[in-house]
Amino acid sequence: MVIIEDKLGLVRYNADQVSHIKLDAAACRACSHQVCITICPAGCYTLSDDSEVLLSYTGCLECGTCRVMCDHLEWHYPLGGCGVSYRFT
Amino acid sequence: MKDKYDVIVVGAGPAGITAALLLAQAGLEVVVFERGEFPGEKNMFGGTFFGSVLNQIVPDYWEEAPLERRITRKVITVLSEDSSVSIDVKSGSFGRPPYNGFTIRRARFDRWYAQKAVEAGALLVNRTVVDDLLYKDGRVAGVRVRRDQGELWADVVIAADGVNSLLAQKAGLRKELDPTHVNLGIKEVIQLPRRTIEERFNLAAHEGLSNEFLGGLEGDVHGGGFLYTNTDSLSVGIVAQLPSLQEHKSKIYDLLEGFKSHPMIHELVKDGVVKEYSAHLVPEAGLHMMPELYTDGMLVVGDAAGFVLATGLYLEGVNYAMASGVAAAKTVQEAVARRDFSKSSLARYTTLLKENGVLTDLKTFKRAPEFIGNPRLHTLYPRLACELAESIFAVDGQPRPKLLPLARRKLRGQISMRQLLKDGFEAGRSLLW
Amino acid sequence: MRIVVCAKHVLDTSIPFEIDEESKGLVEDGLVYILNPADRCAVEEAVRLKERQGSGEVIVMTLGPAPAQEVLRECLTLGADRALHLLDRAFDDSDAYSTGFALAHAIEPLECDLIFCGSQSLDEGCSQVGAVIAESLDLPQVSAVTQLELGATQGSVSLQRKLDRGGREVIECSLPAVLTIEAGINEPRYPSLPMFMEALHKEIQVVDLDALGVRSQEVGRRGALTKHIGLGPIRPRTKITYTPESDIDPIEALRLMMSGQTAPSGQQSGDILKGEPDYLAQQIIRFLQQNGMTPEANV
Ligand SMILES: Cc1cc2nc3c(=O)[nH]c(=O)nc-3n(C[C@H](O)[C@H](O)[C@H](O)COP(=O)(O)OP(=O)(O)OC[C@H]3O[C@@H](n4cnc5c(N)ncnc54)[C@H](O)[C@@H]3O)c2cc1C
Ligand code: SF4
Ligand code: SF4
Repeated sequence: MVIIEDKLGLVRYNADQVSHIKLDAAACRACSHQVCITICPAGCYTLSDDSEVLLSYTGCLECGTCRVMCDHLEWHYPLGGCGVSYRFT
Repeated sequence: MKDKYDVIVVGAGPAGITAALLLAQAGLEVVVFERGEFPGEKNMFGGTFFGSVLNQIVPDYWEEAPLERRITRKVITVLSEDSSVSIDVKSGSFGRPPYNGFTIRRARFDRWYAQKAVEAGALLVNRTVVDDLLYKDGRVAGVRVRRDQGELWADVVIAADGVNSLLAQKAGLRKELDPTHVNLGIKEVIQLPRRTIEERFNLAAHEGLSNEFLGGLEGDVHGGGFLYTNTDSLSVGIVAQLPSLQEHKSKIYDLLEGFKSHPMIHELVKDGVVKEYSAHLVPEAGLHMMPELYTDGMLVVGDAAGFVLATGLYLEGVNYAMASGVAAAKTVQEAVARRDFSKSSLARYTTLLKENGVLTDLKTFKRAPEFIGNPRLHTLYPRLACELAESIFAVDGQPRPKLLPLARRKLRGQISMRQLLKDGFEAGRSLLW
Repeated sequence: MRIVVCAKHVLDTSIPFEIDEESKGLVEDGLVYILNPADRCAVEEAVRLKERQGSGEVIVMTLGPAPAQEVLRECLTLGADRALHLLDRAFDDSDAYSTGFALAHAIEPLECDLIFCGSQSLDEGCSQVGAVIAESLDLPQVSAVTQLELGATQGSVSLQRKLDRGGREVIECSLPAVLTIEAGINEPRYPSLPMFMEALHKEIQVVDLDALGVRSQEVGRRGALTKHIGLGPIRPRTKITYTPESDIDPIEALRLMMSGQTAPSGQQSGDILKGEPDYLAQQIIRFLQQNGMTPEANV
């Protein structure tokens, strides 16, 4: 098992002050597959102790996968100049 | 600040920069918006670049562009759980100008290329994300960026905003992306000393290798891997199909770890230090996902239009992004001459794309996406190929069978001959003829 | 009012970096340089002051290699009017002293009212450049400024500065003056599109050794007072917890812990000087000289 935080620790980010992705809490509770949790390559989606879907937007790699897989997200790019900043890729 | 320009380009990737560079050279006033701090910062890709188009725009670009290694060795490998079969092509001509291809790192390359457009007179506006299109008289006439007083007008907007193209969607040129139209790619840049890379991959100085892999993903997830050599690092990653990831409930980073620990890959990456991890979508459905390419006052180029050739043997997008940028620039120049930016005037774009090969290539490989979607390609065939190769070379005291009977024996019970022939035909039709 | 802001491009220390065994310097590949956060606040403060007054000029200045030009551009997008880049091979390997010296020479002919520096740089954190500029131009300096207003009298500013342990000091200072600005004095703006795009057209004036009118032995490595020996591995930061001696009364012990002192009052070791700043400075210099801690030539 990979600890994704270790990988994200190598990546440079300029954190935006607000999340660029917004969840619809009601839709998440009703969601049968919760695919976001396994599909996100940055492990941004997790399940809280009381089974609530949580999003940690600061680790987002801005790939758009969650946007493609889920119709209930309000998905934007971060503010210009913010977000992931690759250096070696 | 002027509030109107001739052309607004959204996105400073290879597609957008190419269009901006050529239009600025033609004397037009061009603004390029890029949401990153600088071009390339957001742009992850596998690692190989084919420069036939760039060489026409920046002749002998290899003299000045930040390149890693020139690819002289191309390998395609089929992986099963613990063995592998490879086709290995080494060509002398690959190593001589105009060179067949290079490995590059986008954070450096895109930044350099964007500077070329700036030198030609384009105005590059970094750190600025475009959120919406502006309309006038029912046609696209500008963009709104996420800044105060963020409206800017232009005769034409070129959407070069990459695979997620929110703009093409906003303009109604394409529907929401479908999970079957895109694949998810992740990669690690793994540092190794220059000399180690050259010894390990049997390369001379400045020479590089590209290696694509079929199969070998845990749980038979559909997808493949890649390994490219940079100057003093490797780009190692996998590309996987979204529905397959969902179905297997696989985390893609666990798959990459599995891929890296495959006995064959492990030998190639061992002792390396991971420097960066990245993720990006690849448009893989070719013509099947292509949006409408233009409307009144707007053109779509590069990944935003789905111009990536993904045949399982190649993943080639940068070259096509540039070629579509060339076609877009030409279209706009002609439209400027006519003072007509309507849909019918911009329709020239399709013709030009056919002429310079973008659409024809995609058409040639039209069936490749279906073929790549074939589950047996990712699971059964890699295993069979490896078993077959193992049996051929195994020295186990048994009498050596000939290839065909051996293959038939291996196949028995796993797949019908009819299915095999059909798949073979599909493969040929999508990739060879 | 004319305000000069000295800005620096600094290493982004939020990302992992490596030290090269041989050169004892940092491995360059993958390093990112950014506008020093405190300097960004200094630019913002200068622009706000100008906007409040309705007129004036904000000039940003940096001494650094060619890529440092990008931080000047960023300052321009934040509202600075023009930019000067002190760029010459002779400036290479400057320390805080030779940097401040060169900047002061560039600032002098501008006849400005205020000079802002960021309070501390993210990477090296020496916070000395402002002091060197003030000394070279013979101007008053106020450090760690957390609030700034125009003073009650013409030609002065009223400042609040940060003291230890949350303390604040209010100072009225005559102009011209050098102020070092604390990060956090303000929240720098996210520039509007017109502001951002206009900045891209502004010219950045390059000032080389000749234009600056100084000699090469006065700047860069040759003008430096300190020498870079090398970087060591990062040491884990141990936190010192003060445990007062057991024989002093609890109230006194508490007072000591809160004040950070290590010995009960009346028992401090070392000399404590009292008097006017000029006198104090003289005494300190004498002390340093007596103990052989200053190169004679520079005092
Ligand atoms: C895993 C993977 C491996 C690949 N391997 C290869 C390979 O080996 N060889 C190859 O040739 N191709 C490869 N490709 C494909 C190639 O990367 C793309 O085809 C190519 O980058 C497309 O260029 P583009 O200019 O269209 O888009 P991009 O390179 O994606 O550029 C889009 C730009 O637009 C900016 N942008 C987006 N939205 C906005 C907005 N709203 N406002 C402002 N700016 C915006 C982005 O920041 C970005 O800079 C690979 C792709 C992936 C994902
Ligand atoms: S897939 Fe969408 S709706 Fe379902 S849990 Fe995730 S974010 Fe919520
Ligand atoms: S955009 Fe990609 S990295 Fe960001 S949260 Fe969605 S899936 Fe994860």
